[in-house]
Amino acid sequence: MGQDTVQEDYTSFARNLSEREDTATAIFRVLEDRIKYAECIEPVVGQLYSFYQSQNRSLQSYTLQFLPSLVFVCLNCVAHGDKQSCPTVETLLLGMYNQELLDKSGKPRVFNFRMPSLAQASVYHEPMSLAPASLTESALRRLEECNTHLVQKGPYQPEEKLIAQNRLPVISALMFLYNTQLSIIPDFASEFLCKAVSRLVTQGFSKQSSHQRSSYDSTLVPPTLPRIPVNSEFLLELLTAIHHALYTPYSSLATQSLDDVHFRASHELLTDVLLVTTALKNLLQSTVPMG
Amino acid sequence: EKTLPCRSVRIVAESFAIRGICLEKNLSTRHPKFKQSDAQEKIDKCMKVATDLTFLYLQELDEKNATSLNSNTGTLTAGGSIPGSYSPQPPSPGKLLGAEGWRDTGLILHQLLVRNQTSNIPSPNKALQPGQVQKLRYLLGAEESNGTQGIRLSLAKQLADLLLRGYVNGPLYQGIEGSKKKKDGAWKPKKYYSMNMFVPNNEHEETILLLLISEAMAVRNAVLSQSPEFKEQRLKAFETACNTYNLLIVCLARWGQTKLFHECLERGAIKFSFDEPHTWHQYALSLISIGEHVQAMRVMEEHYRLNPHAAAPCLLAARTCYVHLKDYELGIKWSQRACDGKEGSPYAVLSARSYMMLGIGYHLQALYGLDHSNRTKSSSLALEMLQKAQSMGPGDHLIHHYLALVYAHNRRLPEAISNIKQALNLRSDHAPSLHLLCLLLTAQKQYQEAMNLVNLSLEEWPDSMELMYLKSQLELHLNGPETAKLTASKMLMLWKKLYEDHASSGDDTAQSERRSESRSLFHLSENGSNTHSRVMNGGGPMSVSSVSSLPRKQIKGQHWDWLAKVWLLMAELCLHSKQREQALKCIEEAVQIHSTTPEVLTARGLISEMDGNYSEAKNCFEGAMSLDPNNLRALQQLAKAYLGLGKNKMAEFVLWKAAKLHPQEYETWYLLGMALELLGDHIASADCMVVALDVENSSPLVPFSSVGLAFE
Repeated sequence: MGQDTVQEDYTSFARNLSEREDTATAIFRVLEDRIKYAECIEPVVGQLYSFYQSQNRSLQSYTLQFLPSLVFVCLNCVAHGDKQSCPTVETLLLGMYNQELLDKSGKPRVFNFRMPSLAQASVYHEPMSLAPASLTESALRRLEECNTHLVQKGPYQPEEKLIAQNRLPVISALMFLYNTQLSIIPDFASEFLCKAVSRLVTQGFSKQSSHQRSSYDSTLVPPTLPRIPVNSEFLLELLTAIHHALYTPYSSLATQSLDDVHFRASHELLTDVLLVTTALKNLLQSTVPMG
Repeated sequence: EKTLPCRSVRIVAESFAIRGICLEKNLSTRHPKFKQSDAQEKIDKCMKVATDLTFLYLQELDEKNATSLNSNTGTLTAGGSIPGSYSPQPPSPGKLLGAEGWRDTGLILHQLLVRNQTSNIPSPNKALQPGQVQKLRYLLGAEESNGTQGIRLSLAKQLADLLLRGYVNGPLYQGIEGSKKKKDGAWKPKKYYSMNMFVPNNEHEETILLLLISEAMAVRNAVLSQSPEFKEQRLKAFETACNTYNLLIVCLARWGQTKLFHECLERGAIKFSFDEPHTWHQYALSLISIGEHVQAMRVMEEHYRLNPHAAAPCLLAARTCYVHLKDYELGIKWSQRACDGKEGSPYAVLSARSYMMLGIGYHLQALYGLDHSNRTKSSSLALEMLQKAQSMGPGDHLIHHYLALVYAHNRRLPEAISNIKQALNLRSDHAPSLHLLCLLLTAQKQYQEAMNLVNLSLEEWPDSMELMYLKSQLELHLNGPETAKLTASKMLMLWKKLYEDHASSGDDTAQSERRSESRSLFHLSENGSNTHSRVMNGGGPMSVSSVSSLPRKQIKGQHWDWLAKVWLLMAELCLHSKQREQALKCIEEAVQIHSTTPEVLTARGLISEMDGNYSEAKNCFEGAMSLDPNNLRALQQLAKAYLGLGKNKMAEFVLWKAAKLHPQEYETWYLLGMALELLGDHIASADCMVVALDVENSSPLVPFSSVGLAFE
């Protein structure tokens, strides 16, 4: 009984909180410029962490909307070589990660789904009219596996601390979590998502002066800033979030971020990411309406 | 609502449609604001009934046509919709617009369909209408008829797009209620229903299903004819299909399912993508992604013909040549193309990377090229290109890494160290750079420092086989074989852990490659499973047989290479501690993975040599050399065996060859000195010894070439 009322209180508190856009924007600003607001960052991040620990989904979602900015802070600190300056952010990320390892029943959390096959009838088609064209060996195998072999993410291993080896995998897992909640993350968070992504992938790269673009501040970044390591998995998760942002009021920022990620993927030669960025860019240029 | 004859269905549908349209015309003028929602509800209802009836009418029309056609001529079903068949002539223009049934439906119902098709298109900056997803699902649930093919493609894409954008994912996603029967009422269209039908459980299943259906439909509608009269249609159909493929990869890439995307492209898109750079680009990338490197290069060539200015695909091709095809000439050609690319990239760094890639190519040529005279030239070219790259794109740790590597190979240690330190300044936890720095430290004979650095690096990269391997070698040097063996057995456990991780992550690349390798493994696990496993008294908890029970298709080539390498390391360590039997067992393990590699044969030879059986050893080393004429280790050992057999002249001959190939190896010069002395040429012998001493001064514990090619 007591537990329930506490949870209800939490939920209504979270609702009140998420109605206040200015509060969230202020938190984003603090995370964006951690040097300027150096004295705020510790308590803010600490508060976000206690939200996450509350076991209340609404409060957890509230914290989750700041994830891209938090990730940027963490990775940027590491790239600068001063891991000491953001211990709370690291703790928060690691804590969130470890907290999500198990589901409610205490089993390792695995996210999976079946790979559909046209050879099996579905609510949207019947194989007779479509499948014969696709009766290849692998299509058959997929049909066989459809209900047994699952595409999955996880289970994840618990981590004691963030090191070079697990940093990006842990953060990618968190971004995956963020993406599962895209539908309930408020639109204005997209603005900060795009800014964080752009900074993350372009920091340390100087642009040719003749091609300066009106990106919000990346032209001001001196080339001496360290580059932030990325990998395929991480960028693919970021792209999912950017894809969402492309259809919010911040679509021009999102387009810019997409270009930035595309550039970075070309630089790092990440095949899978290039496939996606090229596809998205092509979709945006398409003259045929989606319908 | 009662069952009506086909013609009446149409008339009733038209009536409802017209009523709906009239009500809509009145909406803004007649009703006060507060009543508008009521009126809107009425309109929607009319439209819904009209749509249902239209679908029903078209379905019934199809049935009628089919029976009449069958009875009249006995030929195939009506229309151009026979699956899998394609005619060079495109369908009538109307069909592409989703109005194939225009002559069937008449204008009113046609407009109704178009309205359904367009009213749902989600636009940016516009909030999702409530119930939009449900509405699309409802429309798509109706069985396809000739008249609704076009609209269904469009609706399926819209719904997939909506789901993919993440508006309704996660907590907001509501499952589909699969219908319980074929038909809900006399005025409802037939719905898809069968016993074992696939009902998506989440947004991913639904998106992929919809996209696969759209893809099949888009391919069916594609226009193959290149003649100018169909150009407009062709382009339109192509773009529609292209959008579908784009959505498909956006959805699949995240789940590592590039293979499926590749299959779809190969089966469908390629046949109507003549001279379309975008499709060829995606095709080439998907081939690289799934590990079909040889074919990827051919497709890359085609893409280059279509779009010679893009640098990134050229760089990808170059990397494939270096890493997978070992064709350095071709890789250099691709890098050169990347350097020539004029694409207006906003960043200069991409051209810096192009020159870096060129430098890497020359470096590899200098290392592995067969022509000795060209090697020095390649090496200096490599340096030149890397320096150019460095000046174009300062701040790139990878360029510094490769500069250091080339300097290290040329034994210019101070330059190498200064570059590797810069690389580490730019990215402090870059594993290959850390590895190289350790080797450079051993070249300067600072073994303890190297050891400390390896241990520190392993804290950041506990799963790095390369670093573990180096650690084991360092331990052998500093503490003797027993400690090194402990590390080697840790590597075996690590291998198992990593391997199982990969098995569960379920990535699907390079499957064919894996299958062939796993087959041999499986084969052997059947006959000899009780050997080894306890080779190291409790220290070797792993053997091939104990892992072969894991799902076989997940085996990856590179992993098995590592396992073989660790077993050979273990064998070498056993030899160091004079445990002949154990060494033999370790080699057995390696043989089970790769039966004939130069390394395995060399290890066998070492055992024979230890037994004093020089002629057997000689055979082994010669075998190793026949597999890899440049294998330094085999060359040196062969010379040793010749010396053991008293064939000093032969030894000298082999050693000269080795010295030419790898002039920086002190052991070669030392052995050469020995051989020459035995031959009585004391002056030449002394010279060789001097060279040996000199070279030894800058020799690392493990060759610099053990630092793998890094592109991160």
